Amino acid sequence: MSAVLLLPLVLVLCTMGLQAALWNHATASSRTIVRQELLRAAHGAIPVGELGDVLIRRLEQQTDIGAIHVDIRVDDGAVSDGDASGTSPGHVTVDVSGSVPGLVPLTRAPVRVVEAAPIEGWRPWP
Amino acid sequence: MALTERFIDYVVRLTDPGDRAQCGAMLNRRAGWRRWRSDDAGAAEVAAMVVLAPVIVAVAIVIIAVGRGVDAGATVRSAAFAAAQSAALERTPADAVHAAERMAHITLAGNPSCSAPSVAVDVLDFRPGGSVTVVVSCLPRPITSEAAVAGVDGTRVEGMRVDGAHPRGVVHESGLVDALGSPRVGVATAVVDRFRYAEPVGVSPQVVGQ
Repeated sequence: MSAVLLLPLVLVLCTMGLQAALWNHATASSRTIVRQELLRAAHGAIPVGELGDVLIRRLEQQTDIGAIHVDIRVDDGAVSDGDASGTSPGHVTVDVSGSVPGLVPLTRAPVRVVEAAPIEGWRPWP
Repeated sequence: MALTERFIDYVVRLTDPGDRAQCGAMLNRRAGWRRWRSDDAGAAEVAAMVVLAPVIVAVAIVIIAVGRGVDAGATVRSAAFAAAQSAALERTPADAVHAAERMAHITLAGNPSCSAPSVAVDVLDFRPGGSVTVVVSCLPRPITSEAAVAGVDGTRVEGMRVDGAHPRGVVHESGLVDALGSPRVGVATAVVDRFRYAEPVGVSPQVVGQ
């Protein structure tokens, strides 16, 4: 009786642990990719308008993330964002969400990464 | 009589229809013994489940808490990095502090694993060619999101006293959750661009900016 009850529970716990480790690995991998491409865009190496396509392409090539949705918000650093002097650099915020295959067949675990970086460039003195 | 001989004798008696009646008493005694042993085994299993069930639940909670803690740690490191970069692009220490706080909160806003974030900016060495250091910390969100909400609001949850000023007042009630709920800290330092001027000295501001 104990074995009948405990064995599935132990298996579920082991699956949970492995799934958590895999989920963490997928999140870390996607975070690294998002950060690299975001910094390239913030440094002007790639246009911000192409950042979404670049991100989706790299994530599809280098990770198992599927159903990728990329939301890019660009703040040009205008005075309206509450900045004290109105001269702060703008920033790019990338919100990437998707899902990775789970250990249990036909299941998927959601992954979400939010990263932001300042846009570098010369700005006039106020 | 040895146990084996008694068992053989018992089987022979069972197979002999004439001895069935004489075996009735023995059968009754064996049924009672079996019933007693079955009850004892059931009690042992119940006791085992009572002991093991909390352990299994605790292991599941630990797995979830560790996952959230790792995610929160990665988030604060990333937020500190972005905040330090943003601060290093500013011209004055005040703007640097403002930019770092804003960037850290933007990065942490979309992460569900972090709660009660705090940002500290060190601008003592903020000068062209100097450095700016940003320390971002947050608490991994508790297992029960209700506790986090109650911790912020300062209300009571399930009879526990909650410190409204510090959400960790919730997790201080439990040693296990307290250990897993320790703050995650990310520290990042960025070099201030040496060509940025704290003040335009002797040069037209427009010329400096362009």
